[in-house]
Amino acid sequence: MMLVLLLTLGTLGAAASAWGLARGGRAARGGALAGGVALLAIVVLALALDAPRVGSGTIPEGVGLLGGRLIPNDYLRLVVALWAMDAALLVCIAWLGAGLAGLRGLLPALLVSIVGGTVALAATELTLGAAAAGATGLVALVVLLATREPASITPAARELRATIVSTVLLIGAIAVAPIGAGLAIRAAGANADGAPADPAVNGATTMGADATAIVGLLVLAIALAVAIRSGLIPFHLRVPRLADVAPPVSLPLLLAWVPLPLAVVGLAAVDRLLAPLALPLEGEQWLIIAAALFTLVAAAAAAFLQDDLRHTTGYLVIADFALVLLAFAALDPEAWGPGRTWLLVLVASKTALGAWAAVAEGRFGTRSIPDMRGWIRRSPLLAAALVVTTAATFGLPGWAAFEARVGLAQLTAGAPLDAILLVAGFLTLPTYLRLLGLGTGVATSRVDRAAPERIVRIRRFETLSVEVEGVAAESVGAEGVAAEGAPAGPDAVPGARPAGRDTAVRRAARTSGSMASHGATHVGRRFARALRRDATELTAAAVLTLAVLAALTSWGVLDISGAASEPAPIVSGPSSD
Amino acid sequence: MTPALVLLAVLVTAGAVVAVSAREPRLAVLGIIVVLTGAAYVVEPMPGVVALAARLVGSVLAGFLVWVSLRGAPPPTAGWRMGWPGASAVAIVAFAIGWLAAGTMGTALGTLAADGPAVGAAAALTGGSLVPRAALGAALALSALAAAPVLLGRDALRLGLGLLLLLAAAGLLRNAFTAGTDGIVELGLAVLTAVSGAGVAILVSRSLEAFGDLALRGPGRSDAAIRHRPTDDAHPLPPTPARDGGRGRAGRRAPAPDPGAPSSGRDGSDWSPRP
Repeated sequence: MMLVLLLTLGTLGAAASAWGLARGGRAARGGALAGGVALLAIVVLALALDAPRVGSGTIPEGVGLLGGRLIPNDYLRLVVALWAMDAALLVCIAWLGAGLAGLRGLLPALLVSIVGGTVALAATELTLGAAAAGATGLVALVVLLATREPASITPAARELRATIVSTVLLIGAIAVAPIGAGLAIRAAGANADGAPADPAVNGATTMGADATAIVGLLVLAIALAVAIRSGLIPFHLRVPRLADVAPPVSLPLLLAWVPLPLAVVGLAAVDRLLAPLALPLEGEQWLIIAAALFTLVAAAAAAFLQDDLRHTTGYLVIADFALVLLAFAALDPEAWGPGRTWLLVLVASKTALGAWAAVAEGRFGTRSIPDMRGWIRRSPLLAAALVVTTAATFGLPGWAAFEARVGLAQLTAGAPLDAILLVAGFLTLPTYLRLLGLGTGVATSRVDRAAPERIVRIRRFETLSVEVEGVAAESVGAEGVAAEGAPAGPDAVPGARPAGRDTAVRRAARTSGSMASHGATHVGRRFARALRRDATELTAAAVLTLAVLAALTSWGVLDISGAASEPAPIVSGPSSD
Repeated sequence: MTPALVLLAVLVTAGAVVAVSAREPRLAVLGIIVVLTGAAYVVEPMPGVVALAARLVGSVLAGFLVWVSLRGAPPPTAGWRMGWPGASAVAIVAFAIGWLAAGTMGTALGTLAADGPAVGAAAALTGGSLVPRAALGAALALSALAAAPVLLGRDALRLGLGLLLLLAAAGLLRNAFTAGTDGIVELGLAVLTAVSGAGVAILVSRSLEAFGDLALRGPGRSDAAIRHRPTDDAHPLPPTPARDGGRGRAGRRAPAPDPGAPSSGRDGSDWSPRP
């Protein structure tokens, strides 16, 4: 029931916000409000979700959906709650930075992606999960094409291509997997039962080799699907171009959250269909390890050498996604838990990083990292956020993130390669240190000009009552007048009073029957204006909150590791044999 | 029923040939509608009514959305340089490979399972049915035809049609190896097809709206590079029609283009309203 409510709320919120924000004016405010309320409701519903631990017994009646095709689980609960919390904070940042126009495309996309991700993570049928994950990936188009910028068309086409190709690879691999598995099992059975000279046994041996080849290709196909979707090297070229045209605050969604469902479904496919076969697939494993290692090194180097903040963020995300490949290379059901834990840590920490980059770019008016020298002097809250994000990315010994890194490295390869993989995972650390070190330098003129993080209270001032055309004007605060008057143009002066005629009209309106609703709107606008007046501090606080959420995730709060390690909610069906 | 389904697989492949080789956009979309609609039914045993209806609605909706996005007499596209004979040859070869591979696979599975239960996921294949063979043949044919537009496509419509072909191929692959079909899963695939069609449609629509043609601009040619120059650039570029909405430096409207001239729009400068 809760799952139905969650999906319905998300869908309705997305529809309302998309409809309202596309129209502007009062409809936009209503749509944004509906979307925001839906996000907050999703957080509450996700945390209150009745999620039976998979494998602990029979699923209670009423918990599943669509005849048991969707069953909530602990991992889904945590992922969706974190997704919605992060989304709410991103929406706040976008609104504070660009007003309602900043939410167009972003808010509906966030809600739709949460709905799609929920279906993908709750699916008990792998094909259904893959289809939902693929549909989730298409929200990139909602974000990119909402701006109507001609420049966003080509990146949108690339996103469409990456999404559908990766989805098709995954669905195809899931469809063929039972054949490979069936061949392998039967060949093994024939080998065990028959005599060595038996011709049937020779046939079975040949078939076993064929089955191994098929299963190896399937593992590679699934890893390839995840690599394409997450932009791993050499499929990374679309990421910087996407970062160029997408609104910066939407990058956490596009780069980190959207690939998550596909990666989880891919891991489930390997964990449930291929890894238990325990076939000798060293060649495939080495290939995936090589790709992961190359991506780790190259993406870390690119992130360090880049001077463009958005590109640096993109490469840091790519480098972290490379560790996910290790969960595929391990070909061990034990890698399922660390793999999913790392995915959750990745999206949480990269959301904080992406939000930091977006706010820093907006604050200092540049994407050039050298131009941001001395930024810490003007933005201590942002500095704290980046420090916490760095800690969340790498974790400390005993934290879920660190244990996941170690676990993935050890399950993938023995000594000394596991140590190399572990160290390679830390190669992005210099980039974070560079960003922090640069912030302590002498401030550039661009940084000097930026608004400081300091709560500024504008003192309300009194104005004398004056008679205008026989109507006594009220004394109102400066900010109230500025908002209630005519649309502020470039020449508008804060505190300027509107014409006397307008004041008279407003007085008449106040005595009308719509006084209550007008008052509520007025209060809402004043509240919104007060929030936006301190946008500098509030955006930094939102980024810090995202970083703290990431740190908590990295630490392993709410037993994230346990939830990630529980079995996939996959049931046997006619296609899974 | 089996011969009809095999013929349907052939028809699906023919639709794919039309989709990739036709220069007329509407004809290409007609081909993709045939592919998407027919691919869902090349399966044995037939799924339930709900599944069939879901796939039908999803396929038709996807095709219809792409069709609608081409309103306003879109210009002919380049098509595939190989033309329809070349596309047909590729499709026939790929179909034959898939057909033979499915036969070999079915034989192997049948041999190993002679004294035991058949592999559930390939019951129809091991049973000697021709439908899974036709499905696998069509899947390979669609994949081969989609490869060029997906990997090398520089045209929003061609790329989109290639991607929809790939989706149909994945469905056919599933039909070939899956013993039974699940209504809910079919519904999920239908939603994915419809949403993908919507994605292709909006991409085509925006491309026509922005440039007047379907060509995808590279990063060096789009105005993205101009728009995203750092704001503190010491030498800002002069205003271009793409940046100031068609007005020159003095606010004059850019001269109207020659209606008879081809709409190149390669550098994003062709912003004339489409007739």
